Amino acid sequence: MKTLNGTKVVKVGLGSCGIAAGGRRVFDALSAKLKDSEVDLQQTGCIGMCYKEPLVEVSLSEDERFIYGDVTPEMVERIVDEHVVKGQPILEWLVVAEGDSAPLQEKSPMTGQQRIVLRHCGIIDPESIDDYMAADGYQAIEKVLKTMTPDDVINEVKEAGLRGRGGAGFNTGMKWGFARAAKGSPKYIICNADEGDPGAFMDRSVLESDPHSVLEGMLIAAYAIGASEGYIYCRAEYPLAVRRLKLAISQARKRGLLGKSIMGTDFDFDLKIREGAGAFVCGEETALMMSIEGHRGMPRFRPPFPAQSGLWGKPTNINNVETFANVAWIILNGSAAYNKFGSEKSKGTKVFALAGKVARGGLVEVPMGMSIRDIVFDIGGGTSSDLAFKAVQMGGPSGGCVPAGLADTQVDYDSLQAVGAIMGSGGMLVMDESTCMVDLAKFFLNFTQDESCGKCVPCRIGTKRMLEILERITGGEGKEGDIELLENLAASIKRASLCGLGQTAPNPTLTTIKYFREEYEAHIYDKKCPAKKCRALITYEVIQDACTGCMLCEKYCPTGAISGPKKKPHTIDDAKCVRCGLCMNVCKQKAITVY
Amino acid sequence: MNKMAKLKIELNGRPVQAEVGSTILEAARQNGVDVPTLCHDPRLKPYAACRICLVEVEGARGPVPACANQVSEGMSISTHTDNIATLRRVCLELLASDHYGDCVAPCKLACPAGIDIQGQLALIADGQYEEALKLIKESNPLPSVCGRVCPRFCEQNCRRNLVDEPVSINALKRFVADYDMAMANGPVMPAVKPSTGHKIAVIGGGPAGLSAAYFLALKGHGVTILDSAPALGGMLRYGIPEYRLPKADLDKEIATITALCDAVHLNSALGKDYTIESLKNSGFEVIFLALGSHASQKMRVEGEDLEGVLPGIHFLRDVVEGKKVELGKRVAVIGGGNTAMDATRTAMRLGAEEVMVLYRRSRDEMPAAAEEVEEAEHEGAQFHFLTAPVRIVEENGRAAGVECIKMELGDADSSGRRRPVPVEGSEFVIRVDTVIAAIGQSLAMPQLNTGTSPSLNSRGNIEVDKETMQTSTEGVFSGGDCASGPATVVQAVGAGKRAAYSINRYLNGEPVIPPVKPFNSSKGELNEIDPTEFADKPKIPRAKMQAISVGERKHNFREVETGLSEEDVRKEAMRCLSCGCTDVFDCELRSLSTEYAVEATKFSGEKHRLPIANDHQFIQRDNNKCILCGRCARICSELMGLGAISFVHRGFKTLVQPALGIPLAETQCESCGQCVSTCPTGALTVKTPLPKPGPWKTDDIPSACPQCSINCSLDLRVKGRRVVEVTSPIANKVNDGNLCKRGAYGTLFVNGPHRLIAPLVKRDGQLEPATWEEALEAAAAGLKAAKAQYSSDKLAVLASPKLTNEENYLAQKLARMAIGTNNIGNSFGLPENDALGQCFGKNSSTCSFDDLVNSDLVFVFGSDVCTDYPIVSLKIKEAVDKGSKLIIVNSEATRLDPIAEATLKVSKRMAEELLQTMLNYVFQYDLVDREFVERRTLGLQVLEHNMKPYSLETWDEAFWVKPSKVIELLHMYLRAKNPMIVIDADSIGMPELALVCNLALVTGNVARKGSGIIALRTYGNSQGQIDMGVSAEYLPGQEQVFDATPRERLKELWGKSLPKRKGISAQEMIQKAGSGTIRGLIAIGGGNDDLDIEHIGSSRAYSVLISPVFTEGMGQADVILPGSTFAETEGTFTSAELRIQRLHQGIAPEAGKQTWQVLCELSTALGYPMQYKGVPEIFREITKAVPDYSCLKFDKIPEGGVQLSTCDENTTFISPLWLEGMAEYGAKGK
Repeated sequence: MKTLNGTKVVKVGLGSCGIAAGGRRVFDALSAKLKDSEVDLQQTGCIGMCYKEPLVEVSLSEDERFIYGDVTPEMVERIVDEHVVKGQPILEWLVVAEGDSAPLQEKSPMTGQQRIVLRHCGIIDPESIDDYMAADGYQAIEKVLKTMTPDDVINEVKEAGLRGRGGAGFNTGMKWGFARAAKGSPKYIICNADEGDPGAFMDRSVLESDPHSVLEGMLIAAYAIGASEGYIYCRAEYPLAVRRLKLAISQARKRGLLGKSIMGTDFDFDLKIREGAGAFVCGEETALMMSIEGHRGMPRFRPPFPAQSGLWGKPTNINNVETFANVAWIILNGSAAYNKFGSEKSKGTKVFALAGKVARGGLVEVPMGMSIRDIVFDIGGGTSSDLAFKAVQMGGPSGGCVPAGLADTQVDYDSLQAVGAIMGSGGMLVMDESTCMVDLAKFFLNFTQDESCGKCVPCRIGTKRMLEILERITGGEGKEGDIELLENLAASIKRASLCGLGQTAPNPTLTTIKYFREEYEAHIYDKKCPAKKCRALITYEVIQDACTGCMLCEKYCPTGAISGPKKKPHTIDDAKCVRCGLCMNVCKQKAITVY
Repeated sequence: MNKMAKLKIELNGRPVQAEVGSTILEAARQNGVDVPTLCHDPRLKPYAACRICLVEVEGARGPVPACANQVSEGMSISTHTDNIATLRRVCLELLASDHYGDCVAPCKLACPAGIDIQGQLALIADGQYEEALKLIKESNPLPSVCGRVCPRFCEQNCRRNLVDEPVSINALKRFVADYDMAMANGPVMPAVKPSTGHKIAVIGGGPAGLSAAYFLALKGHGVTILDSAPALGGMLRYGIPEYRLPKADLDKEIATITALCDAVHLNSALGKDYTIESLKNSGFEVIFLALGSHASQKMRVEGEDLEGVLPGIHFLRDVVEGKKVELGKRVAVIGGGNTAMDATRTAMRLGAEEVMVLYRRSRDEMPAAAEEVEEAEHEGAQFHFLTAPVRIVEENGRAAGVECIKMELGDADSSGRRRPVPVEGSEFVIRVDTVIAAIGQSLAMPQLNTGTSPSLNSRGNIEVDKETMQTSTEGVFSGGDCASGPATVVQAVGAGKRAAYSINRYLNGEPVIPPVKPFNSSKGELNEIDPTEFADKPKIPRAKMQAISVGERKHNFREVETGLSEEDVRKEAMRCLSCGCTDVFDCELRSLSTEYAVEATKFSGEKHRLPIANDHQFIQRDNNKCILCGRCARICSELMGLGAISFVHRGFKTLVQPALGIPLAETQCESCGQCVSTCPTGALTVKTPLPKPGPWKTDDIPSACPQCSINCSLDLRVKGRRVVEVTSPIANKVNDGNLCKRGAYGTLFVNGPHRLIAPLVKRDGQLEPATWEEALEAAAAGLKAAKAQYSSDKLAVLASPKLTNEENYLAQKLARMAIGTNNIGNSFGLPENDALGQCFGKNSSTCSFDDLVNSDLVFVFGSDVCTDYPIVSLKIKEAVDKGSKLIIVNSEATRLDPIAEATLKVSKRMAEELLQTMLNYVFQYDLVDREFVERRTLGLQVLEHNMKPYSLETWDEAFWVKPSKVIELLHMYLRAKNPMIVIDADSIGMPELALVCNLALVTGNVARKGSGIIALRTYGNSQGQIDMGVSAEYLPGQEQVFDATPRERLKELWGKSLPKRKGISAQEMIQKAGSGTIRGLIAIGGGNDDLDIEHIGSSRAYSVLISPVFTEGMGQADVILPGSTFAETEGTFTSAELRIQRLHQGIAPEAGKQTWQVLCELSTALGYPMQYKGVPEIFREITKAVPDYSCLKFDKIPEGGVQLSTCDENTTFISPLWLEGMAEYGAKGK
């Protein structure tokens, strides 16, 4: 992975994001082009700037890094010829340039990021255990096994202040302590890799880019609590992650890093992968365990907590991918080093999947406590449209909406909770002025309603009734009292639901009501959608002065709602119009307006 | 864990104790606080899905499900705070928002009297007319009257309107009322509560007054009716003409009410003869004013006071009173209501040649019942619509015509009807002799000069609270037309009923508030229902009311409508769509929704609308009523281990469905009905084996299951003559509320269809119905002849092991005394296997089912308990759950195998060899429990000596079973501290059973708590038969027939010497009856398959069968006497764990006699008189005949029964269960 003795290295990002954008074809083109050269062509995981995939990194020396974005196979020739061979970076294609020889850039998307979890992502070859080991891999477990007691490990993690990255933010060290103290054997370690929030892909990227760091974290946790068996519960929709995990497990087994007497000690530990069928609720830990046991994935009540009675009724510790990926770093660098990052009560860094109407979407890792504004603007580059930044949805369907007015809110567990949002697993959805907040609430509720396991009444029926009210409002049938009905129902659902899914499902609705109540009122009382999204509440019209009668809109209109004589202004028959917006999109004169 | 240890908690601010390890829910119930729940069943693990049991726990982050959280020391719990109530209500309202079904049928909801019409129709469909009438009379004391004159709001709302025509509900009501009146034993009279001493005056004997009087009298209050007229009935008598409501019928019905009253004062008018004040002074605490509406409204036209103008209501009254009314030839009746129609038809009957009805609107707006209008037209009345009188034309000082004006319809008025507007200049005159003005009535309130008179409202009626019927005057209530204005009979009945409810509360010193309105889920009004829902219902025309022809009606007042035939009535009742939920009386969702005042439509939105699944013989599934509590799915998988139904889909679309979506009957479902028993709503219901599914408000009669020797505790849910459902109480000692298919559904055979309703006697080779006397005589003669011609021992008696102890006892007594033979055995021809008796001295189990749970190892030998004894298999599972090990030896795989520690497949043929091998191994390696054998047994050496030389070596080659597996299994048994053996005593051979007993004895594994042998038997009272001496070899008390001591004891008891010679086995009896060696046979069955034996059918013996059912195999019998089933008799069963349970009589025997009575009468006819006053007396004799039972008293047997081992120590009885006292029996070894 490193440029050894002046070897030139070219890497292609081949996470799912890279592959989906055509990374393999770029890789093949590079492979053909570099066939007889001494250039070391490598695959790596997610480099982070998903919006520019496929990404190709060129490193001609150890301390420099040039990353090209939107690379096509056609561009390969020039990159190799000009940059790799002649050492002249192609400035107009560059996304990132790091190192002394790098030409000055404006703000790099990497600026302000602090990579702990993603320390190897986009750098090492995820399919090579040697790469991982060359990057200090499996040194933490070695340190643990040779120099630390389980209590030492738990204390170190506790001291580091690492909080569960799955969303709830419980202190990981304490959680391990409970599982360690629990009576019963065997004990289990489970890695929750059932990442289900729409728009979230942190865990997938880590698993695809650095699977060994997760295994190492699990090994350390297993040692700490006294577990000898572990499961990784990964959704089947992540085939590449599953494939690389399987590969990593078999590599680790071959090296004696999994199995009996690991590193010559009496510590035994082995792992199995369980593929989930894609039920969102299976990310809830009790449902996840039900699913591993072969039952329908339905949450059960707590207590007893998994630490006391988890998988097969045995003491079980469950952490998510990102949490485990932090562990080896903490052990190697110490809790104090970890502690340096973050805010008072939220230590370390957090990975976010930056998505939505943001200019530079992708995977970013920042120290806790950075403001939403800094993430959205400095790293994300602001909105992707020419419209103003409106809000950000934090924490997916369980999270809340933070309006632009609160953009200075620090991203840490407690500050987010104070404004009604949550850290969640790290989904960060950016919205601009074209987003209807009622529609947004409806979108998330539709998701949670579909994904409710159906067990408890408030979640199964309550969210359905809330959804119906939102549908009614966006459909122009909103009634006076609907907002209050939503609020009351939401309060009961939050209190009465059995698991986190139901308890948080009303959050997007509640926060959008809290911060954008006037938008709800406009739908209900004025029968208008201020964002001009809700079809039942908008009207398309041709601006007569602007229309040249080019007839393009007429041609595209799927219902024949637009008509008019050639070269004369056209009109839209509102009764026929289905508000698809095609006319607006195709009009070159911007002669279509919506109100 | 010590379950009885206690800890301290605070419950709703009260310090209380709770058992350690109990959930909050259990702890609350232990302390008398009921925490509601919908998804919890004590038989299942906590689930916490319904969120109804949420409570507040101090310090907890949010509300906590009480069913799933255990109490801890010092926990402070609040179960009923406002916040919690809000959450519960929201959850219930959400459930209601997705509940598509009618709790109560719309017909009942529409009925002002609130008659349970669906229940009524269901009873009628089943031919239970008397029960139907009882049900009607719970709500309406005037079924005969209403059955004739009711405006039938029910039929207007009948869902059948969406299919074809409404069910003819009212005609059916009339049928049962008439049927009842015609019954010889008089009309049905409901039970009256004991006298309360309160006195009430009901003023006015019309429908409201009669109704109030009736309901108050039933409560035990003293009611006096006062009426100004010479006879009771009010408008029923003076307003409704004879041809619609014959006064004779009215009188009969009124008599049923006045019979309940203290006194009736006629010709006694308020304001004239007495006042409210004077009534109060004479001791009446409450006065109910039901004065009616007897004043005619004025037409307000010129000339209406002329002679020849009659107010309609006065005209009708005069006719009833027999006054001479001169009408002339042409009569005009003005008005469009029922009184106008009555006047019209009455006028025609009085001889008027032309009767014209003048009505100012059109036909559609007429308030009169459509049928009345049609009949009037049919009888010849002329209708002039849109015609209003403006003046009465005078001639010679009397009316001679009506000047009318034409009207046209304008805009709708406040009543929703279009307002008639006069057409200017359209006046015309109709010449008539008499004008009858029937445009409405009003209250004629008497002047009350003293005391406080109740206020009147703006319409001149008495002002009342519409729900409580209270007036402005203390202690005075009012209802009927005088309070509501002119209305219908049934509305008056409803008002009287409401008033009675309020008056009763008033008299009891309770606040006068209306009854709590039960929660009601409704599919919606008629016009809101999608008719395609009923697309599969075949169109069946409505029964047509029979009526006399118009010709027959001329000039007389004969009743026009003559009613429906019984055949029509049964068919018509079957047209009912049974809209209301059959679970309405038991639904937990409904009762909670009522308690929490749930608004059914608080949340509205999409509802599941799925077809009702009829994919199972016994179970109906209505997903529209499912609340997804998961109880059915969990009981099926968690308890029964089947998983025939489970959840599918997610979110709002989640459903409970049979596995893989196939029909339930095709899944692994075993039809145990456990899912139905746990379903809290009407989503899963039993298909009642009756024409209609109810709903039934049942009497629950405790009983015990006759199907196998476990004798599960049952509740027979009885309605009238039927057992509509069989359930089991959750809190019972035998089966914890669990039942299997045979218990839940097999027992329903008692309802038919093959029930015998009369004795049958063979005449000329054909069985023909006969009277009891004829049949008994014939039976006795036939048997006596056989006995005389051959000998007593050529006769035999077979009794079913499903019969009670008392019936079995009488059967053997009949054999031994009346016939004089020991040829007595069980009707199934089961071999008598007395190995247990030979080894232990008593032929029975040596321990209780509960010992299974106390054991550390359960050894099932040679039985598939899951199939044959499912309830015991549940106990074995429970034992395994608690840590017991399970080993199974059987010829086939069983469903318990997966939880067994070790299993061995050994064919029945090899069972003896296996046991011999095991015992030999025990001897060879000296694994005998010497101390136990020494102290408690006899004959070890004999046993050792007689052992066959099987050893493990022979096994390997011969039987394909690894010796190591046999040793492993045996060692598990030997290592266990408290091992239990479970066998099926009816399928295991005698040598094998003896070996099992000896294995237990030589290893010292009997006679301890949690250690011994459970001997299961196939039929319900197999053990009782053994104890009662239904045996060729054993007398009552399991004593040998040739043993002198018992013979003496019984001789004294029975007054006659016992036959000495041992009888032949039951199997032999059956064979020999077929072959002709047995010449006379009495066979007694108690179930539906007990006597279905071909041998009996083709018997060449003279055969007398006593059976509750007729089956094909019985066709060859000479006499068949109908017997009773377990549901129709009192008595006791003795179970395989020696539990004696009482059966209570649930329904009357179909043919009038219980089996014990038949046996007594037959014995008497045979010359050995048996006379008992009842079953308790027979049982008393049993306690003398059977020493083991001597400590029992029939009346003292508690619900759930008593085990023989629990008899108190002062009795002479020695328990065969695990108590001391074994030594004197000991192993005899074979």
